[in-house]
Amino acid sequence: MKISYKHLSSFIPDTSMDNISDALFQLGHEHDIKKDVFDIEFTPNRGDCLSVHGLARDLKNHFTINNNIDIYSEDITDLELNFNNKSIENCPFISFLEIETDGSVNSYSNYIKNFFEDTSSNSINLFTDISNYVSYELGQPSHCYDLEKMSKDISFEKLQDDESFLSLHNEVINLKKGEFVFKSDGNIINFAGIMGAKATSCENNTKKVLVEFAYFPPENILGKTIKYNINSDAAYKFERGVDPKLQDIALKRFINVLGEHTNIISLKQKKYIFKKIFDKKISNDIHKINQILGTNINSKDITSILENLGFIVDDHIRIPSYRNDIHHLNDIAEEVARVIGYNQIDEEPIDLNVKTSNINKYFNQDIKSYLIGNNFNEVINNPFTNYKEEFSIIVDNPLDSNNKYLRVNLMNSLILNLKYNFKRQHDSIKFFEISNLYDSNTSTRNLGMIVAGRLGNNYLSFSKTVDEKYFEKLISPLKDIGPFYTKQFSYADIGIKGKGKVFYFEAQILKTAQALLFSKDFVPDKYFNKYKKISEFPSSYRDLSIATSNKLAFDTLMALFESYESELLKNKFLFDFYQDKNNKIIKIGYRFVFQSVNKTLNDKEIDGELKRFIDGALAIEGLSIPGI
Amino acid sequence: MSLLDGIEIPQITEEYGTHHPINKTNHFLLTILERLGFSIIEGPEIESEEYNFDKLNIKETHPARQMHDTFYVQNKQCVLRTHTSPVQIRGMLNNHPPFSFASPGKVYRKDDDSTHLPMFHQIEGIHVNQNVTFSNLKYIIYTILYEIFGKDIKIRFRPSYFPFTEPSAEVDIQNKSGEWLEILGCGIVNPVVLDNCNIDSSKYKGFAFGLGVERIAMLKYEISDIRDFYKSNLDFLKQF
Repeated sequence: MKISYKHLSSFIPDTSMDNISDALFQLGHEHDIKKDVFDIEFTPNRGDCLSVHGLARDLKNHFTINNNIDIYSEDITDLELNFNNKSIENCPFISFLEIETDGSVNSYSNYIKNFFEDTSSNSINLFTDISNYVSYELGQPSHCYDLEKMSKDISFEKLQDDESFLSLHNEVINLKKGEFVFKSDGNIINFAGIMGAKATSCENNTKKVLVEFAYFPPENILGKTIKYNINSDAAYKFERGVDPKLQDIALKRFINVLGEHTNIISLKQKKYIFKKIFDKKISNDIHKINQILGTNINSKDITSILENLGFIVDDHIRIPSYRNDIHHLNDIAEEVARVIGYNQIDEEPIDLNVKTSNINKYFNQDIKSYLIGNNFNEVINNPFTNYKEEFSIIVDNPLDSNNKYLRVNLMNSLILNLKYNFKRQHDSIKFFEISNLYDSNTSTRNLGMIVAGRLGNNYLSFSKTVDEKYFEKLISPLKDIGPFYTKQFSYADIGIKGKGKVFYFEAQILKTAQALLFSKDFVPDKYFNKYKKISEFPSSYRDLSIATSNKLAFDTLMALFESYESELLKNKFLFDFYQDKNNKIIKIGYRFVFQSVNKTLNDKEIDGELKRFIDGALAIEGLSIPGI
Repeated sequence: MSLLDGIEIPQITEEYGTHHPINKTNHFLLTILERLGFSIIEGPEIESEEYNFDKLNIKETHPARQMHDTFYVQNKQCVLRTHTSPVQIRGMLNNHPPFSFASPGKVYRKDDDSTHLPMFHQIEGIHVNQNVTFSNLKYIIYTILYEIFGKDIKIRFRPSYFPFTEPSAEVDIQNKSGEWLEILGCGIVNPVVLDNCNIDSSKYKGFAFGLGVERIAMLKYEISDIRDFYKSNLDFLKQF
């Protein structure tokens, strides 16, 4: 909500914007400052702060507050109105003001002009503008009806059937049965607390109005603006809680502000209180407040803090009518903590009894270590899928109607992961995922594994691809697993170009699942390395074959290879090692993969990068690079 | 084994896979919490509204319960849990204080943009005992954040609002350029929530906190787009 420093200054004189800003942060009113306007994100429990006056009231422990509001103080004639409240629980307090002017409109005062400018609001007509200003200043929404367009027979009622009306914004709103509305002569004139009807709205030439100041319980308003896609400042306030004792004051302030901008000919008022307001109170227990916070604040200071916030403190703490968020001593403790500042409360050590660790079981760490040791990479996929199985759970309100089912296995997700990476030039892919799965009958924890392409990049496995033998050997040590299945696909089956096989395994697993064969524990230890941006451009590789029969040349070459680095070098590995016994020669094959994060590399750039290595190799006596 | 002229066969370079960075971060955080005395508990990702909302003092009319924030399943009979707090509810219902639980897991909200995902990971912690104070909560939060970000990190607490804690706080840390970043939410467990879980709120108090795992991972790894975690891009995954 936007609140102007100029307006706030009328309640908090002689205080800088920075000082107010600091106090707002301490009190939990997160905000931005644009020019001299606070744009505040109030927490949803603080409906009492949704006005200039309400916010100033919350700052009273920090600054001297001028609480005077100029209101109309003369007696007002009784209004004859036939108001039938058919649901007093849902509109327990309401005041009506009939007001007639001579139609003149004076130039707006600066504080009204500032309101429009600072809150980016639009001027509509005199009565609506004053209504909006009073809501901004005091937090009480009101609604103005043009009395020339309706009778004084008004009812507040619950709709017995679905019914439509044309709103102030010229939109037809189809209300459902059960919504609360004001009606006159059988027509909806206001969707209560949310939006008035076009048919009875004020215009620039309106002279005689009926202004309604009502209280509606938040639970009656919550969710309605979303349900009907209506943007309503009044609803925003009502759903967060308006002071049930504010209606009469707002009415008198309305008269006062209106009187500054036009000539009022007559005034009449009718006030309805259908329900007694019982002031809420909590037993005063300073010790308990300190116990909650871990502080030792004396009774006098706590009392002073609370009284400044409008609480009456004696043997009880009496809660002001505008604080509908206060229910128990924890709420009171929060008020005290906000005012002294959360950062002023010292930390106090606490010893929680340490229990036996179950962290490795939570992560199925034994299984993970085995798979990571076999060059598998862990993936996490979201559960939404377009694959419908017999017992799939349907999401009632999916983000994407194409993916409205919860997956009942991991296979389709892992196939998509595989395809995505094949498209990105990867030719050796080993993925696994461990996830809970749900269908309409049961839930399981599953392990899925998918593997395709080269076995690896080292010279023993580079020329081999994944086959049945490898896959059987991979899954045979898995122990303590539930039902499982395996599948084989050709690349063509799942839409990958080229020839090859994809192997898939999925099993229900227990927390105790493990693999009998693994030699290294891959529990995470070095957690956080700095992430390097990945490239969206294609990579290119160069293979280099080198021959030698000299140990020194070989060792020097291997050292050169190890030390070769380049900003564009994505990967390098020894993919071939061959001993030609007849000719007494060792042949070595290196692969260098280049990629830029900024562009697609051309041949010249790649060859230029590799030249450093080639020149270094050629300088070694006793080796040759065929073709160079 | 020597070959020609004593040339040795090159050692095979072992190739290892990687943990997913989110699970790695999860592991890191849970290790800290376990060391502090929290036991890991788990619960279902498909929850009743009673456990996901009602028992947590999130009223039927709370905006979070509207269809646009929560995924409903099985004709609105259940929800995909919007936080891991219902796991704490189950923990409280099944145990007698004192206890300290950490509940990690996937949670779901109806969001999808560069800063929000429909599925993400949370870890929540709860401790219930007699004489638990906001000062104790601050001690635990400071300890956790020092472990995550180092002892030089600047931390501040701000009042906030969660229906299930009272007082409630949001905690910010200051980054290298001086900006304050919201890092977690916490508070004293609302007595209503304790009573909802059959724990006598006149005798016991508790504190609770919740961390977004993706947020911590993004800060620690310096990753700017949350969506990168779930593209399953091997070039990305291989870095962790």
